[in-house]
Amino acid sequence: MKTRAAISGDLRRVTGLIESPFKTYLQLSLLLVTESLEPALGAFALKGLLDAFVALNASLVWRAALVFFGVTVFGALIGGTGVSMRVRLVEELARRQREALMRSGVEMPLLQFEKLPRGDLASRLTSDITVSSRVITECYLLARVALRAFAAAAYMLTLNWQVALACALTGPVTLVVSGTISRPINKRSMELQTAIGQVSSEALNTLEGVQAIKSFLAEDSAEKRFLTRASAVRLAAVRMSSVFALNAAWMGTGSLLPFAVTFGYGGYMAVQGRLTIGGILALVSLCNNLGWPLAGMGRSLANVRRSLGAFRRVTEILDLPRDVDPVPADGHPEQHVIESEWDLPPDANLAPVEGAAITERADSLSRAGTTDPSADAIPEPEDAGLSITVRGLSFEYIQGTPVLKDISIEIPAGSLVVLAGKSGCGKSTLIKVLAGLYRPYPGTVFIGDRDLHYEASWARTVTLYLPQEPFLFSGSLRENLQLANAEATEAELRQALSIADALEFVERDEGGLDRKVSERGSSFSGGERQRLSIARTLLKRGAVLLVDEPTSSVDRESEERIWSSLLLAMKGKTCVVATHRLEIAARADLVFVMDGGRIVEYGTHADLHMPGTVYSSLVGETGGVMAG
Amino acid sequence: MSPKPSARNDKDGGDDKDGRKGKIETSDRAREEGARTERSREKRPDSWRDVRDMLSFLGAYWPLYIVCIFLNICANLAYGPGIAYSLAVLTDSITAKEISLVWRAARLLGLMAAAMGALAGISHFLSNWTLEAVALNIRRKVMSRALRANLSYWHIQKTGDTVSLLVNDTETAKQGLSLLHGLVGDIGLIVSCVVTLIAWGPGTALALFVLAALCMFVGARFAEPVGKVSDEYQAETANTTSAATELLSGIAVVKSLKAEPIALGRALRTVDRLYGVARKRGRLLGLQYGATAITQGLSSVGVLIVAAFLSLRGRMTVGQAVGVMQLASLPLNVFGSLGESWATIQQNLAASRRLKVSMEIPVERDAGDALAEGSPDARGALQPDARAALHPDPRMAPRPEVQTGLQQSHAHTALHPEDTDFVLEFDSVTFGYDRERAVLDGACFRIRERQKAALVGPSGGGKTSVLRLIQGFYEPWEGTIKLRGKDVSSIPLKELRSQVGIVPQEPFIFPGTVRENIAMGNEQASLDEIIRAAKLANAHEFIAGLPEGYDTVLDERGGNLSGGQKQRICLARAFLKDAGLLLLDEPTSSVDAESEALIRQSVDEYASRKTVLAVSHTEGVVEGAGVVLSVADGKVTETRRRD
Repeated sequence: MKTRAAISGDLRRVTGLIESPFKTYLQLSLLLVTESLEPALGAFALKGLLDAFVALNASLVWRAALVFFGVTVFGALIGGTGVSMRVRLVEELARRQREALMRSGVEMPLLQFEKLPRGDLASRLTSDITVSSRVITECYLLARVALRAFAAAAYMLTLNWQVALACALTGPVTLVVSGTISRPINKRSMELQTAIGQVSSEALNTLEGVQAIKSFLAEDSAEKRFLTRASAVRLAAVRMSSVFALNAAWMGTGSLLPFAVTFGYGGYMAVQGRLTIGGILALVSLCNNLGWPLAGMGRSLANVRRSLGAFRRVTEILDLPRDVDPVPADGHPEQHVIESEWDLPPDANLAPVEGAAITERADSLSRAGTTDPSADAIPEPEDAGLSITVRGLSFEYIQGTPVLKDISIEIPAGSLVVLAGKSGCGKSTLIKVLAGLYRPYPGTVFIGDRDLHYEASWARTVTLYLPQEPFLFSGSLRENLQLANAEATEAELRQALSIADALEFVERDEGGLDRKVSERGSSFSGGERQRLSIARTLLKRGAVLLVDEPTSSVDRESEERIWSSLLLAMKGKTCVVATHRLEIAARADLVFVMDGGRIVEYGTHADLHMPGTVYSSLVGETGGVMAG
Repeated sequence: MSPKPSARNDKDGGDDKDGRKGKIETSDRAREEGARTERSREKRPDSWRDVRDMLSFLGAYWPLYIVCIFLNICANLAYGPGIAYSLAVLTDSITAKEISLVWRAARLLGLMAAAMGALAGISHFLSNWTLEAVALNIRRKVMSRALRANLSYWHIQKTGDTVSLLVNDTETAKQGLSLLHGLVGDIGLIVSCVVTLIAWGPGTALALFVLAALCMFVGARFAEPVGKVSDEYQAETANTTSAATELLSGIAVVKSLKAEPIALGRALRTVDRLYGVARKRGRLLGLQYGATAITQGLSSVGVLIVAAFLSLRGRMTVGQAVGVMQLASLPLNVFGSLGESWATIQQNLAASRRLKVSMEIPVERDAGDALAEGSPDARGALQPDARAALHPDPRMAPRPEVQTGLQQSHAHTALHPEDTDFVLEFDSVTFGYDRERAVLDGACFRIRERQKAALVGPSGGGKTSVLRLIQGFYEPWEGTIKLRGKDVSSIPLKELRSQVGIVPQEPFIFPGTVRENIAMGNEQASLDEIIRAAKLANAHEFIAGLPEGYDTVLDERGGNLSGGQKQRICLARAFLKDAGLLLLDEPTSSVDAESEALIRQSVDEYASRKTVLAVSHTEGVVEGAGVVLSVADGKVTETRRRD
């Protein structure tokens, strides 16, 4: 069967996670056999004790009590060993899966990561792993129930086969009824989980907007929305508990079926002298392993399935492709240099835009020259800038809706370039491609002489990327900064902070660089976070600065300080800035205007700032802000 | 032995869940884990008070809770003495070799079983039904408080923590209530078993006491270290989770910094630490299991031996001696698991303590009447005028005072266009978020009717604080804020906020349709009014382009909209509200220049009828403002551009 093959495949993968599978499985098997025999041994000891009782023989009672105690101790030791062994196994699997998931989260392409629903990976890391780690344990427990039932049945047969058989016949009845009752459990529990998920996201959303809700006096309607969700949880929980209540009733009554049979039939046998009292009670005690646990087997099986399902959700992520630079056939990615046709005229001056807007075309590209070829020799990233060549680049997040369409641009080494355009025009995506976060395809992107399709990691080495939203990690400020450069000295840290206009407020706090950063940096204001993020980026050192409108929550004065020191620090390096700010566009060597994923105009600010251009409509009459 | 499975609880996290009396764990393990992660390790000052507090959550449901307890005790009576008695009769009739007696005893046993099953089922359902109602009530109360809390509450409280209160802690507290009535039932079980034992042979009861003490001693020896290691385990689990979440949220930054090895290494270290604690926990759980099993086994044998000798001397029938096994093993099981139950109850109490605290957080002034206290229909009891204030709709439920206030001021302005009548006055206002540092220090300014005022200044300078003070989110330390000549602190908040519209810096979108989102500004607004507001905010065009126009459902936090689009929806919302004073906090920070120009026109038009106060670092919307207020170093400097 296909599913069976899939299950065995999953189990093999689980086995692969265990450090020493052979030893583990051997130990588990030994444990399983011993644990399965335990109830039969217990019943044997009990029978001896009770028969001694009924015989009213003191010395026999003592001896039987000793045996009984011995069996108890044995059972306790085995049981204790079993518990700690299984816990260890569960935790080992959990650890391996956590490691693997985190690793694949880090190593998968960013695009892939962003396509996963929000919080999906985190939920797999937490709730799924707690379930999936139990997969072997759940199988073990299932096997133990079956084996115990088997051992118990065997011993029962030797005690009195007629009673044992009658007793065993009750098994299927118990199973069928219990199975029927528990059938809706999975569905109901899914319903409940969904309802809980909804109530929690509703609550989060409401509380995050509490200020707006207050402003609009919408407390009552927000509360009503929340109540609807919370009532759905209650309804789902009550529906589920009705199934459980039926189950509880059946467990209470129905699972006593074998006992009733044993007592009735066994009593009759005993009256006839064919079974002792001890025998009856031993049979009854063995029945413990037939009716009740077998009835629960459906649930154990469901547990196994659930943990396998969770494991599959984990492996689904592990099987996603990694973001590894593909090694081309010749095995030397470094050799993928710009082909000869890209040797552009040495004229580094850009063709000025004449007149009004010029729609970007591939053929006009050749006019926009790049630096002389010597600049394409691999420079020290710290010293010089690198040129950037984009040719025919298209990009889409979702198939069929391209965000970038056939972009071709040339950015000479050491120049300051501004990307302008309305929000959603593709600026941020282009910046992310240049930063090596998205692998360009189709089309080619070169930074220096390396093709990012093959070496996206090269872009991550040489570029300094400033994201739109600053992100700080919990820990200390120093730890945050050192993420970019673990060996940065105190002086370097301070220098970077000072360029980002952050030194002052960092020093004002007595914690200084050791100040604690709370989760997501919420202990800092938006502007402070942004400045810290700039400082961190600067510490990385690189030849190309890529900026995605970083200063939106910094005031103007500070912004100007940051820009002047940032541009000073990046002097001689290539800077690509997606921004709203006119002052920067005015300073730029070249401005590319984007619209709908295409470059629609380019030239200097002076060239473009003319009536009728898209650029001038972006700049608008305000004269201060460009489109965002 | 007993005709029921013995209740030795395997402790490796639900190893075999053949818990007592066929009860099935209602919550699944994952949820339980989640709830435990949240638990704190505060010291318990007064457990009894905590229990009382937890019981107070029952509210009007307490009679049902008592019924649950009663049913529980009945089920236990059938389960303990009932079945033991049947067993004794059965065994005696077998030894007496009286077949008719055997049948009768078997019938008795069957009856007890049926009673037990029925009672267990009913009490399970009833208990769940009741406790879910209680949980709903708790959630409502907590949410209701949280929505009306002073804004300063959110400086110390993370929203995530409140969500966890609403989801996990409520669940845990509910489990606590369920565990508590289970415990009362258990006490009933122990008492009834002991009474029966004394009746049959006091010696066995004595033996039971001695051995139970032994079991409790062993249980107590483990309770402390197991509790400690479990706390450690929970803490490390939480650490690992937050490390992983953080790593993944910041993944783009990590990649661009090429800091994968460092960042991943940090997260993986938490996994290793967790594993270390987990192994320690596993060893301890194994030991605990073994020790408990041995003492319990020893105890059952001990009681049996006493019973055996009593029956050897003829003081007890053989049947009673067999029955003693059932009677003794049940209390022993309860004693054995007492330590565990206690630990669980502590967690539950900690959760209910946190809930209690969150139900007592200070709320804004005059928010009390809207709080959902007591019966679910509390909202129905809102004062009529409060209800009117809740739905600020000029056509249907006019805000009497607001309206008259506005008219008066209009009249006034007409009479003295130059001075006296100010919409907003700040008079030496001093304010800060913590006592150490004042954000505003003696700030003074005034804004006139139908004026556009700009609020500029460095970030962190206090611009947003000014807006918050106007809306009554905070009270100034010193000085007064007047709205149309009336001290803001004397205006009921509902009235105050109905007079003020706001476009916040961070756009707030709730899951619902575009229409619902805009209508938040005025719930009674017609679609035409909504469209008009959307046009003013230059949002109509893109909304019309959405798949279902105004009925497009926006997902969580407006994930399917761009920042600028979200801002424009918030603007439309504020235009729809059409309040006397419109506050704009960087309303166009992510809007393109074209939209911005259109929005500015709308704002200017608004200012020609009413009053606008806008915060911005850039010109944009505030261009042409009649007055520019620069906020810096806690002071406000007024620059009048034109009058």
